[in-house]
Formats: sequence, structure tokens, C-alpha cells
Amino acid sequence: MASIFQFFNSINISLLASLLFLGVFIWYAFAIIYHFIRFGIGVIPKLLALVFFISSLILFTSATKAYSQINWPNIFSFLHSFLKLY
Amino acid sequence: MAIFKSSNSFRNQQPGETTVFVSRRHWIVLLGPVVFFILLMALPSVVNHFISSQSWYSLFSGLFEFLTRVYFLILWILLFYNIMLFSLNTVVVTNKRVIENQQKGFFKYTLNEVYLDKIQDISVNISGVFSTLLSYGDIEIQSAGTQNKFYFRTLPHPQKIKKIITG
Repeated sequence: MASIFQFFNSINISLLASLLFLGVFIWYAFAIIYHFIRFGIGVIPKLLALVFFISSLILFTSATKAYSQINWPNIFSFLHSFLKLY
Repeated sequence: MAIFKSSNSFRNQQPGETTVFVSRRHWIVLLGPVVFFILLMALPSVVNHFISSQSWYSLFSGLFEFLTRVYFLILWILLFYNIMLFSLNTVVVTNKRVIENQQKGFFKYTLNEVYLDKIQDISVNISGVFSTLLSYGDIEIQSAGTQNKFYFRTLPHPQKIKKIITG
């Protein structure tokens, strides 16, 4: 049992979750853009692919910036004191 | 730019086949998902309204901001997934045949086709107030081929499409 806790403590779960989310996001974004460009008929699907690419890039950058501005030490100290109560 | 000059070529196009007309389903099909996504976009504001008065909110505001942006990113992807399906579900009339592309997901589609010389009868079905006002309906093509009937549903201006098919 102790070894399981040691194993989970040794991996950075938030980093793994971020990488997993990044992987899923890249796959979905690629598949949507690929379908628009490869199988779309006419100009409109290609323009939609361009709109989606630029907008998702902006949203992803914005989410990354928001992540960097989270005050983790404050949150953890609050959670620590909160859990101590119970 | 080449992107603004894209031709109406399509997958499984035969040699010498030219596109006469391309139609997607009526925009009313997309209205439901778009309204649903707009409502979902308001959800973080509603949650923020209830939790912003809490004493602990200032500690978690950064985290909340991050989760909101990730939520918007997921919604954006799902919205464009629906737009992609709408955009790739097409009816193509060429000089040889009528083709219906049904995109059902990523890398999953069906293609129905009927050759113009096999068409025996085309009927248009417009029923209801909305479909009459917004001019959309179904087209049924009777064919002499192995598959007798073809249904193309919720197409804009079905009478016009019928005229194009019959020449």
C-alpha cells in the first residue's frame, strides 16, 4: 500500500493531466481542421478551418496564461488548513 | 490567395465529372446546437454570480478563471465539431449523378449516389409552417437502380434543386 502512495507521489499529476488535455485538444483540433480542408467542398469549409485554427489558438494561449496566473501556494495553504479542521 | 479560389471538387469524383450544384442542409438544422452552446456559454457567469460573494473566492478566482477558459475551449471545439458535420453533409449535383455525403463523425461517412440517367421521378415534400416560410424540405428520388428510393432531408429551396437535377 505504501509503495502505491510513493508511486503516486513521485508523479506530477497536474503535469500529466495537462499533457493529457493537450493531447486530446491537439487531436480534436487537427481532426476538425483536416476534415474541413480535405473533405470540404468549396471555399466556406476552408475559411471555417482558418477561423477555427486562429480562434482555438487564441483560446489556448489565453487558458495557458490564466494557468500561469493561478496562485497555487495560497490555494494549497487554504486547502491544508481547511482539511485540518475536519 | 488559393484558399479563396477553391474549386467544387469532392472525394470520389470521377474523371470528366463536373460539379453543377452543391447544397448543404438548411441552417435550421444548426440552429438547435448553436442555441444550446450559447446557453452553455452563460454557465460560468451564473456560477460566478453565486460564488463571487463567498469569502474564499479571492483565493480561487485565478483557478476559476483558468477553468472557465478551458471550459470555453472545450465548448468551442464541440461547436466547431457540429459545424464541421453540418458543412460536410452535402448534396452534390454533377453532370453524371446526384451524390449525398453523410459525415457521421471523424473519418466516418457514407456516400449515396444515383446516376442521372437512372432517375425516374423526383418529388418534393415541404410540410409545416416553418418549412414553408423558411423554404426547406425533403427531396425523394425514385431510381431504376438497385436502391429504389433516395431521400435528401432538410434541404434549402428543394424546388430549385429539383429543377437543377431535372435540367
